[in-house]
Amino acid sequence: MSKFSFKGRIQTDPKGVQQLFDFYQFAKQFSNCWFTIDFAQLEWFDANLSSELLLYCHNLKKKNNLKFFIDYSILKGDLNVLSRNGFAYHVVHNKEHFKPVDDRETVIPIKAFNPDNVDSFADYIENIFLKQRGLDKIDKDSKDRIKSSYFEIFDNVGIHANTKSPIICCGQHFPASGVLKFTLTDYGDGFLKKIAQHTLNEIKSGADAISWAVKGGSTKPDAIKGGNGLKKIMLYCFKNAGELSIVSDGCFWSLQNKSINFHNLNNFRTGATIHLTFRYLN
Amino acid sequence: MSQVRINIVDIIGTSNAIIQKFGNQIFEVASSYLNAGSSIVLDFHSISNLTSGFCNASIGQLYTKYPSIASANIVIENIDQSSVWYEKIQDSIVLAQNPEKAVIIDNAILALFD
Repeated sequence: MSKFSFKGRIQTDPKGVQQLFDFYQFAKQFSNCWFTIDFAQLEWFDANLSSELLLYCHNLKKKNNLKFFIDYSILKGDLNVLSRNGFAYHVVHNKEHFKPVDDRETVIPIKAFNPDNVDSFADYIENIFLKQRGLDKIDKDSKDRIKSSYFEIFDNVGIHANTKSPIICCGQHFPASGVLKFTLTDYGDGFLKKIAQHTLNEIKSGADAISWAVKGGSTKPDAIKGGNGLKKIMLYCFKNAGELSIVSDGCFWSLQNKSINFHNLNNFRTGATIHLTFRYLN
Repeated sequence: MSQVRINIVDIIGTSNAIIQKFGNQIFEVASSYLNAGSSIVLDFHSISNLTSGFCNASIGQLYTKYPSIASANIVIENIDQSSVWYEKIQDSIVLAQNPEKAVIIDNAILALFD
């Protein structure tokens, strides 16, 4: 049967990311047919991960000519976020049932960008996201820092991706707890390819490549001192209880609770994903 | 010595100076004038967003490549000196002029991996 059922909680962690990839691996077996994405047994979905799921659906539509069915009546309660952020509309293209209306103003809507289209991305962050009513509590300096961090990460993904395919972004904020989650993902080269070439295969694994990049390594012949801001974001997350996760080349690398962890993912895809969590009420 | 004004927004074609690629474009243009013996004014008029990545790739890289002439021959205009942007620009200059500070930051990062 051309159906995949998501179960339990899908969060921004190795288990959640793996489950999304398992969906992709399963759905890839089908082509030229309808495919049901079943959320009936799902308890929670981190809205920022919609970008990852949309990337898979986009590829499956393009390469396998799949058409997706989602039961709109299931997208209620916490799962309603998949409708509010535009995910369901982009996958199913049914505006009657999945018109993305964010009445709570807590989502950063899902959107795809060409890596060179900085104006569109800047407009998205400044005018669609940061002007939301729910972010009134954040002072201007913090908003500027958040905005700048998102720009730096957009740049970082663009540098590593080496692809014309889109970067997909999505996020969510939780005003009561002061948490902001944001994800950018692409289907490009990932971190390892360029870094392995640059280091003459001294760096051989996804985990080592991500570590090398966040420590400030650069694949450019004349490394630019200070890099592109990823190090600053990392230090900021370390000091302010934020979280930074990078998924590339089969590795889920994360800075969380002031410690760095690696998890290997099974048979993972190419490309890279960066997750960033801010805690702005600290 | 002639002085050349480089309007950042004209070179990168956008008010969003937020990616390294744009910083490299400024570096290339500015380098050509410095190599020709001109001094330059980097004019940030009409820029609406600025990142460290851009500053390091443009100004920081100029200070790294031209350590002996950069201070005297690069003028930065239309930046409020009390702004975060000014800090980012100064950071990029300090990192270029004092590689040991970059090492200190790198060591702080490395310590996270211990």
